Amino acid sequence: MKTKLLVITAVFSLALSGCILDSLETINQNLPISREIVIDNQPISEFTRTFVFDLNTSDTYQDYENDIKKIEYTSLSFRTTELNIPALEGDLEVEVLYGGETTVFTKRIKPEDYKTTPLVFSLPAAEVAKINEYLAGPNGGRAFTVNVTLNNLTPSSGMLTLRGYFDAVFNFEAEI
Amino acid sequence: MNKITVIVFFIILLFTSAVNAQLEDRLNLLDESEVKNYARPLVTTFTSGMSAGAFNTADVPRFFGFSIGVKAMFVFIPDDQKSFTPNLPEGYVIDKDAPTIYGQKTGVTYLGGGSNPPIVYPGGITEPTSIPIAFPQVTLSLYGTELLLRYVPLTIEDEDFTLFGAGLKHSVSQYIPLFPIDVAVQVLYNKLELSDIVDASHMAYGLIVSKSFALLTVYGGVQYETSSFDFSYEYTNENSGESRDIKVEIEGDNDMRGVLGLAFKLPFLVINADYSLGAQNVLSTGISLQF
Repeated sequence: MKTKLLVITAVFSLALSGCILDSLETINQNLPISREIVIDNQPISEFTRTFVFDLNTSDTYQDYENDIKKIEYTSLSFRTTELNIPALEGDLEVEVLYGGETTVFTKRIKPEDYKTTPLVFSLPAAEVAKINEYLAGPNGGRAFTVNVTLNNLTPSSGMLTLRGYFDAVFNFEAEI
Repeated sequence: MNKITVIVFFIILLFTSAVNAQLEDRLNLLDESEVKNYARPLVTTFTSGMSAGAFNTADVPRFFGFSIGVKAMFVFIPDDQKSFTPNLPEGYVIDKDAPTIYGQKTGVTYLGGGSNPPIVYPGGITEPTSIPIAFPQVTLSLYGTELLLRYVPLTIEDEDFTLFGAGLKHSVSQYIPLFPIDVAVQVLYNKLELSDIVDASHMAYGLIVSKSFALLTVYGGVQYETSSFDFSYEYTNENSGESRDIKVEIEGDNDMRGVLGLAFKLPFLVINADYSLGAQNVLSTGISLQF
């Protein structure tokens, strides 16, 4: 009787702990990477800047690099940190290049608005799927080249100082 | 201790050690104010689990009694303890709740305007309906007073886990001749240490009543329970890369608990089950050899 009761207890604990232990073997975490864009006291015209989002530059990514099972794109956003012409408006084009693919965002923006609220770029599901396919696998891509163009600006003359950050967020799942 | 019992204890330890590794990775993302919100449900679970299984009768042997057994329980996690509203600085968009330690496994990120970089909140360790807990327990009774002891010291791969519990139950009804039910009071203390990251303590004060009908005992009680967890970890600011050591004390949401249960008593063997209502409800069972 005593042995039978102990067996029941062991099986009970084993079944439940097995389910919980599966979920304890992985960590799921978001990984933000920020890149600054700077236009420093330049005559207003068309501006183009290029930078790279490279996951390998993230300390957090390096900590988990060898244990990552899955990594996916979450979001891309822009925020303004400095602007000397509050009324400035213009056409923003963000071209993201990765693994032979291209994703383009375009929007008429007023950078002053993004001092308080970020501009979040919306992507169609098909575009997100392409990015995630690029990221997938043990030899998946880890770098994205971003070309940012700001043109058709109003006012169209004067000296412009504009600083801001593009924030890309990825989500990864790793074994621990 | 036979082989099956060893397996049960090993499984409990595996769960605890894995939680330790997961906990440190997640707390690393949170500052002092938010780690309390994130981890409080776990503290509540510890309190709820430690309070449960402390009694299956208010009857305390008049001269001598001894029991040894295992207590196993499910602590049920309500949905409102799986997420919380974050305390973010001005300038951030709070468009979703953050998961607690029992919330969704996927972490969340809050975006801000201006000079506010993204803030990452960790996901939960698991999203359970209930948490199973089990531990051994010994009682020794003399002249109407019962001493309860729990002790589990384990070390695996340099991780130290220690659970120590002690309680005193005293029969009140022994002073009232022919009182129709058994009444006792109990105080219970538990301490849990998990390597250098968790140092927890728990207290419960209970009033217990019971009535026996041949082999069946109906028992119930009310408990006041409190607990405190000290978490020590290194916090790293994801944006600046700066790290600092943080020690934070978290109290559980626990307060009062009501218990109702049944015990089936054979010669030398007691099997019991009870359900308690508190900050987290608990279904508790026990098997013990009793002399």
